[in-house]
Amino acid sequence: MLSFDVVIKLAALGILVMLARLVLESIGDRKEYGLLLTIAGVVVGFLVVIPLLTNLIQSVKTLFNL
Amino acid sequence: MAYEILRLVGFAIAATTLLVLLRRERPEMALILSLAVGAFILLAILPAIGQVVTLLDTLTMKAHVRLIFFDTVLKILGIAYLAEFGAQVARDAGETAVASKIELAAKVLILVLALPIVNAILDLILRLLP
Repeated sequence: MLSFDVVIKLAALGILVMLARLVLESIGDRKEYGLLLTIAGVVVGFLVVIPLLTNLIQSVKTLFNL
Repeated sequence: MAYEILRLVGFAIAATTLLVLLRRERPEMALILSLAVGAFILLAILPAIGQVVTLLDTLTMKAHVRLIFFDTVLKILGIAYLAEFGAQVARDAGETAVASKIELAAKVLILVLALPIVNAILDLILRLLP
């Protein structure tokens, strides 16, 4: 069976982005950095989740002869 | 198998807690996380589905049903699983329009796949009619 750590990784990434945005907003009005940070977080998250999705789609393909 | 469901439920509850935490502040990270959770759970139950498919396969062999029909049914099942997964992710993010389009696409593709079966049924009916 697969391991739980992908989910832990993604949750940690999300909480990290959340905290970083809170810090950025409390320092001053740096909205553009916040947006960049969010985009970077989304890209890194996708890099983590895309192998999982590829695995799922490949498994379904082989199982159901798609 | 009984052990598996305990593991999956525990996993899902932990993931849900994290998702509730993330959803309020960072909805896009919550979307990615829920994508990962959904893929994980589906991947975990795929071996069980594989067992059922193997059983159906042997039954088809024993009953001498034409293999193309069973193959089509399997393909339809795969399309339905994948489309449901995508539509649920889209609906979860609030994009009901995209979800509806995914479901429509899946229905059309399933209909196209089922065309040979419909043809066969029509042929059978025409042959039975005097």
